[in-house]
Amino acid sequence: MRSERARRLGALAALLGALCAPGAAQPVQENDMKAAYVFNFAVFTEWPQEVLAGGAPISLCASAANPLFHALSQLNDKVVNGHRIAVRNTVTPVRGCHVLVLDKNDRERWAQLKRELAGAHVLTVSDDLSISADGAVIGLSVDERRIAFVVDMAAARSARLNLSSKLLRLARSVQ
Amino acid sequence: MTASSRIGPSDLLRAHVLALALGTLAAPAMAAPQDLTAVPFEQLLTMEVYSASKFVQQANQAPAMVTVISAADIRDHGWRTLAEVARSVRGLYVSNDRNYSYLGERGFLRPGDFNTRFLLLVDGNRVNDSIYDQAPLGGEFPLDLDLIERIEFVPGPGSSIYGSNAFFGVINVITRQGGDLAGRRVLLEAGSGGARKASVRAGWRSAGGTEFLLAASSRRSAGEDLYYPEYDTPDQHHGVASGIDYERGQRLLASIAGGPLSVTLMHASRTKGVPTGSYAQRFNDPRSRTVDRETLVNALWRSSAGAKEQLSARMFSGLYDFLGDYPDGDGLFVNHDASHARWWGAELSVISTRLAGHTLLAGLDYQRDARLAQRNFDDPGAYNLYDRRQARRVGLYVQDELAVGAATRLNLGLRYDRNSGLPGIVSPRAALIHALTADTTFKAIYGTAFRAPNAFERFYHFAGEGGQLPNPGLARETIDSAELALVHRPGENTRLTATAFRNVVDGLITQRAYAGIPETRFENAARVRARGIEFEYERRWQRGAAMRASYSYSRTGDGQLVNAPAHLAKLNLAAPLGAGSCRGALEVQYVGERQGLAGTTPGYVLANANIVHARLFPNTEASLGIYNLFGRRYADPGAAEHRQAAIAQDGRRLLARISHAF
Repeated sequence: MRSERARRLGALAALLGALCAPGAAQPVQENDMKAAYVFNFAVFTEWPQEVLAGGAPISLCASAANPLFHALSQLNDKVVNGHRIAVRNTVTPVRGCHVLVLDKNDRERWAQLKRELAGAHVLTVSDDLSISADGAVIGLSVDERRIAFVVDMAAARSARLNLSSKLLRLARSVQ
Repeated sequence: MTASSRIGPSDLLRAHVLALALGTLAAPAMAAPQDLTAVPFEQLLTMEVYSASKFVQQANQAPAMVTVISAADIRDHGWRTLAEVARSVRGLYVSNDRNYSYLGERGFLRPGDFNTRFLLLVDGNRVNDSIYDQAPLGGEFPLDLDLIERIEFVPGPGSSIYGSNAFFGVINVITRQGGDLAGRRVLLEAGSGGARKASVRAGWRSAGGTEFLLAASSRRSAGEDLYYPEYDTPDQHHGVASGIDYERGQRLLASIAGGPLSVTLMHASRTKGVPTGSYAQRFNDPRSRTVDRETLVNALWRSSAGAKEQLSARMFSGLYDFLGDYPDGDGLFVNHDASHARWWGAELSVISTRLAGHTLLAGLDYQRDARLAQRNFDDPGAYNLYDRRQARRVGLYVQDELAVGAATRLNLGLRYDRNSGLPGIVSPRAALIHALTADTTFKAIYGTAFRAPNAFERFYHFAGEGGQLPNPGLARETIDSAELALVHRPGENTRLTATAFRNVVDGLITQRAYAGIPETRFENAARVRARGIEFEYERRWQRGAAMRASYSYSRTGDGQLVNAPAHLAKLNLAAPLGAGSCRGALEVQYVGERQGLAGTTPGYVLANANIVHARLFPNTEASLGIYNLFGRRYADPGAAEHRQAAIAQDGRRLLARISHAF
């Protein structure tokens, strides 16, 4: 009885162990993963010709205080749809950015940034819940150790950005 | 107790081998990083991440030696109750009588105490009911653990902020919000002893940013047939309690958070069969059970962040019902013990950073116990007790955290309390937090705390065997506590803690039995002292492996108190397994020998293991937990209501879980 139980226990553990073994991807540092998401957001976004001419670089902006800044810097010189990424430390003006990554350190200046960005073709990506809920185009979050994102279509429309249907399909929610 | 229930070196060896195995499996995950921009986006969405932030920073600055348990720790270890979480925390230990879980700390766990000396808060709202002051730590806790964001165990006196009950410590549970749990999830569990559980939850965020969360769960377990030699006679089923170790429970959580306002409703009900024949019940009677039901509403308003003054206002209300069905010794009638508590209150507080170098906190806390009713009657038969009361408590507190130079901070707090029927009391706390070097912090903490006697201790009256006499004149108990601690962080990922404490308790409320009298009575005991030391080592590795190990030593009074182990040791390990979708966790706990009311209970070593597969199928997570991995036999001391000197605990238990997100 006892040994049979032990065998069953062993079998169960072995089963789960075996399921663990195959080469699924290894866990990734959260900030590196978020930077990879930002890269993909750029891949699946279309900017109007007048702000992103063929071959022109994509300006990816974030404040140096943003914990993602280091990970985002690794995207420098990578190429997206024929455009080289140029990572910039956000000073002013933010209207020159194509992608602007925000975090909780930007909360206080967000109201002012929003005014500045009105009508500009900037893909705002927020890693802060309150900014995500307050007009950023894309909001990032972590759920059960995975990164998820939500898209605010009203914000995308007012920035006159064309987000691909694939991006919208992969979003947790589109509003 | 047999010799096999004592700790054996083989246990430690086996645990060590397992830990090594975990380490080896974890190793491949340390491989070189990949270029994530080359991975298809769909695949990125399924990959797990680990966070770079290692420890909650403010824990270093807190005026106490806080242990923070995160949602990730809970998931890694497969913990099901707060009691299981507490077992892993430095300096804490848990006793279980197959009815409730009782928490002990630093040498104190009084028989007959329903966790009254710990204040349990969920999002700042008091969970301890207002009749027994019970902090529910087992299945009767009103929240499923997967809805918790983090738990802070704050040892030491907390009355300077929280008033009564924050005596040995405060347990702060912070729940997750709807936006963090966006989506729908279904969870199913099955395990040994007929354990079954189903839960559903749904979280979403509206276009306006309002977060909603709804979660419900239902569970049952059959338990096991248990043998108690104390009842081994032919007319008592030869000492076997059959089919009455069952447990059933339901929980519900609803929360809305939008802008400055959040409202939470929590409800839980738990029914537990009582197999031990406690309180002189008829042994092995299937009618024997207790029911705990609690409903809590908490509404919080907070002014916008960023201003120099931050205001918060909270209104709360609670409802608690207890029902105990105790068949009398001859099985002729069932004695019903029933209590009902209803309370509401409000708390106002302000944090000001107007003065440079100061963080000032001030608050007013009011609670009205609109109904405190205790009833006891026989069915069929007579009323034995109908005690109805009302009470109130008011507290006024201030705290200042001030910088004294660049390396030193002082945290000074003071609270004045008035509880019904008792004179006012002032509870101070002072903490000095000094950075000796960039890596090493020294803390000196001094404070006092109190606990007002509760309605059960003062007014409950039941004559006869297993009964209790009232003591309306019972005074409050107070504690005078001092602690010195060193926290060393040689790197971002490592923390070493050493702490020494001294507690002096005056008027300790103690359940006392007298020769020739069948009832017990709560009385204020003479002064009791406890002192001790604790060490802890925490380490996190790249790729998400974590370790926490601690040792605690405590000594009480002249000779060890009942249920107070001198030695406690703990080890918690968690690491990614294999290629990364899995995580494995192992915990090993040693609880030293304890004095019971009759004889000693030997020390024991317990190990639990858990494996989580985060993506068995897309959006599906599975886990397998093995509790009491080596099937150790161990027991906890019984209390005055038990005929058993020691109450045997569960052997090896398995639990499989599967959850699916939509």
